Amino acid sequence: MRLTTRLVIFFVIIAIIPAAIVGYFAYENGRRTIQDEVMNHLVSVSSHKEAMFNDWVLDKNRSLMQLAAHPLMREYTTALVAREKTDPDYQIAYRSILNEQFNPAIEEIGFLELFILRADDGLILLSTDGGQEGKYRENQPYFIEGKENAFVQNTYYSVTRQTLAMTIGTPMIDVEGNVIAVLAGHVDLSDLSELMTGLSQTEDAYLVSTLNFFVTDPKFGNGYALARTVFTDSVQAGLAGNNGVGFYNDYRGVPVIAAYRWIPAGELCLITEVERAEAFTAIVNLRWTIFAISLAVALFAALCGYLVARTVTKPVRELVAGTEQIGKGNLKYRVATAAKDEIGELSRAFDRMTGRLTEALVSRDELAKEITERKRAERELKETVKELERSNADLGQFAYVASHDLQEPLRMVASYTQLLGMRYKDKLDDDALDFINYAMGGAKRMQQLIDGLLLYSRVGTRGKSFKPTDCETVLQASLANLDVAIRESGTTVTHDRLPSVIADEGQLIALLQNLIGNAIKFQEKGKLPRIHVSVQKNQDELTFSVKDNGIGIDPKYSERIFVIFQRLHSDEYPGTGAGLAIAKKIVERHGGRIWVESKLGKGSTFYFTIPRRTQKNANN
Amino acid sequence: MVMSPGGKFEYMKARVINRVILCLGTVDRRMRSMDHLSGEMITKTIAWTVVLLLLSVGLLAVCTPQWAGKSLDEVSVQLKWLHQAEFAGFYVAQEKGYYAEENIGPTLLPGGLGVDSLARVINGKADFGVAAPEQILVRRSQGEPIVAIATIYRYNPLVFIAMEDSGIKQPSDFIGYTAAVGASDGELQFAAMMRKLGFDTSRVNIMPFDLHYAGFYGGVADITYVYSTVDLISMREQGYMVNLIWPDDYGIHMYSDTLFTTEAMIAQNPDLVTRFLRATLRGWNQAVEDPETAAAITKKHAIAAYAEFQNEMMKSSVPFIHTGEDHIGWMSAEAWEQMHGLLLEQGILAQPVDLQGVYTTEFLEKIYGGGRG
Repeated sequence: MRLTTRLVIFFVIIAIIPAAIVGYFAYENGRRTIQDEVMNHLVSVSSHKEAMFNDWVLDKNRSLMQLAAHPLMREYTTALVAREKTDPDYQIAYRSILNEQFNPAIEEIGFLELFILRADDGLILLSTDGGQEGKYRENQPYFIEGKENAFVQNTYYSVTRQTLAMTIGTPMIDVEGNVIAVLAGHVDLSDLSELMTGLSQTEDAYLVSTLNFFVTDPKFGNGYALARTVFTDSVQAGLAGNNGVGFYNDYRGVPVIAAYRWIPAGELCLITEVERAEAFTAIVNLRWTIFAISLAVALFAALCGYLVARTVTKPVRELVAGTEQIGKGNLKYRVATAAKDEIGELSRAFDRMTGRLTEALVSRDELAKEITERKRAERELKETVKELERSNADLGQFAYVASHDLQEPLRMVASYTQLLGMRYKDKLDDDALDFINYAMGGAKRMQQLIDGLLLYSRVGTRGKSFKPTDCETVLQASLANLDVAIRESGTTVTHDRLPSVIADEGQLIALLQNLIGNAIKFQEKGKLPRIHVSVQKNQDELTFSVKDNGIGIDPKYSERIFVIFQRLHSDEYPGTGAGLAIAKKIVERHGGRIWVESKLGKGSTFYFTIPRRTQKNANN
Repeated sequence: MVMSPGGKFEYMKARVINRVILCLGTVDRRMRSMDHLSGEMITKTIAWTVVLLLLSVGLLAVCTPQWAGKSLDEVSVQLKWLHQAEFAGFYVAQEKGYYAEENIGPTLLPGGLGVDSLARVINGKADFGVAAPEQILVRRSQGEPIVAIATIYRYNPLVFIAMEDSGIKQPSDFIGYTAAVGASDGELQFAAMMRKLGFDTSRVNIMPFDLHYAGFYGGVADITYVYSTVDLISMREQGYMVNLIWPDDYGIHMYSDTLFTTEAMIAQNPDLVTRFLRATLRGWNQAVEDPETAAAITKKHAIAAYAEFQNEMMKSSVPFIHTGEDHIGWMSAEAWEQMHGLLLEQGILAQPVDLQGVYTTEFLEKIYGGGRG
């Protein structure tokens, strides 16, 4: 997830959680308050309505009692009870009660029917509804109880009237104090409907009888009174004699908050209710307000989060862009932020890093170039060396092959020339014999040259492995080989104590033999050669020297003398010119150097070095 | 109201059982019809029957609890009259599965002219019956072992009528006129009312009651009776204006439709009586609470001619059943004493009957746990 998104979400969560919690509690609190208010209101309304109902019943009761206590009523009723229908007094009493008492009062005191029941058997003697006269009400509570005291018979089903009725009965007493009749009246229940009005617009109140009949019209049920039954939970609870308030569905199935109240005085259930939707309008508004506030807070938080994220992510994004640029190889790129915060520092550090990286890369490139160059040079060198080695080897091989293979024809030339000289000695003239001698001499020289060449080439190809070699022995061996020459020339050879070296003993002998031989050979006539062999020990090598008192060498030839077949003196001193070349080759094979220090006529000193080596790396 | 637990389930189970019984019946019939077929076929059929049996047993074992292993208790009820809203509670209890919940398979037998519900119960043709309480008292006095267990109609909807223009408004006006009340429910109340008021019934011409009121409409009979919850409605719908003379206004306070059974049933199977009554009263409570649905259910049973009146009939019946005084079905000692006293007074009962045996509130008390609603 992107940092911006994360920050926005984080901010929204941070903002919305407290907002939601506070909102929830505010809402709950508000809801409860409003709900409590509504419920308390309903309860107080219902208690008020109950009081009104009780007053209303009391009022009816009192009216009837007053009527019953009226002196004329008592007098006439006594007549009704005592006399026959045909009696004029009965007639007078009947008419008087009906016309002067009942008819004027009935509507005023709110009765549907007023009637007088004979105390003996409950016979209706007189009624405002003439059709009821002659019937008996001996089993009705308002009659039975009404003989004793004023009695309100709460809503019951009147079979005759085929409707609900509420009837009050009150005793009528004659002058002697005997209960002679019961004055009864069916209450006009429609009054109650008025009693239930006067509520606020959203409220509904109605009475329900124990038969579950509506006693008064509910707000949305015109004509329900005494005609329709209702079995809602609130009604059933009220009819079970309970008081309470709660959430119910009303007679229409609409959700309401209802207070139910059992009115013992009327054996009725009073329901006061308000539609939940209406009661909760304020709550709904509160909910919307809280929701709107929460939304606003969330939006604000989201904006804050976005802004904060931008201040953080912008330099970061620039940094990322810079990194990508540099990653692509654009080392000249600079983030160059003006921000002063940590990310600004980071950016600047990044820039510095990029700068150093550039420098480092430049020097590295140069280094690389140089290294490449050197490597190339080295490679070339190696190739040259290899080439040289190869050509050297070729050359060695050639020299060997040549010298070896040349011997055979040379021997034939020499043999046949010799044969020619010996066999035709007599037939040839002196010139021819001289020529043959020259040819013989040439062949002999050729033979010597070839031998020298063969020796030379054998240094490389027929060398022995290096072994510890005592130089004393070597010197003695070479001196022994030169024994004849030394004795003939009267040479004196001295030497230092010579060490042991790791070397090819045979070649070392040949080397010393060569150098000493030369020292003997190149001597002025009559002068006794004096030769001294010494050694100087250095760290890495031993420097041997062979010093003589011979004719010396012009220093300008000090290089040339080591080249094969190069001879400074062609006739005075015999030789093939291979000796020093062979010496050089031997020394070089041992990894050493050979050189000469000399002046004409002052003798010469030949130096050569043999590197100190151990047995281990003897052949390197 | 007392509810049996797991109502729906019990009902479903009852249906499953019915289905299986039906199935077995079919197989049995098939077997019989296949007598002429090969023995192999019969063996096959027997095998199928066995499989079906095992299957049904398995099914019952799976859906067990209360009545596991028991079959439904078959109970027959002899109604007082043709199927109509007067018996709505029974239909509702059956339709809503209240009987099934009590593990009862009810058979509701309609009554009619010449069907004596008391006799049928006494003769063991039905387990329970609906009858007028005065008839119960009379039969009881004759030594028949019947007992009332609940009264559905606590007010009596029977009302005597006379055409409005006849001027007959009260019993005293009956003298010299013709009353079509003979050999019927109304005869007893008619006689009682007249005697109570001190009129000699011989001064009224009594002719047999006519179900179709032909004589009344034709002017042959001046007085007859109707049930206010039944014929009065159709009569008024036909435009007849009649005066109502309620026996209740003249000291005749009779219960009407009363549910009864035999002493043997109560002694041998009190549990079944309780269950049956509980389901029935549940049906009645439901019918009173929702008369329209009850009427709709009733229409499934009622004969076509009656169907259209069921709604009105049901609604007008409610106050007679749900009086607001007691639980539906409740019987008070006072009412029985009064009825007894009245019948005795009128000479309809020759001698007092021990009311202890006539009715029992034992089951009502068990179901409701008390009287007052």
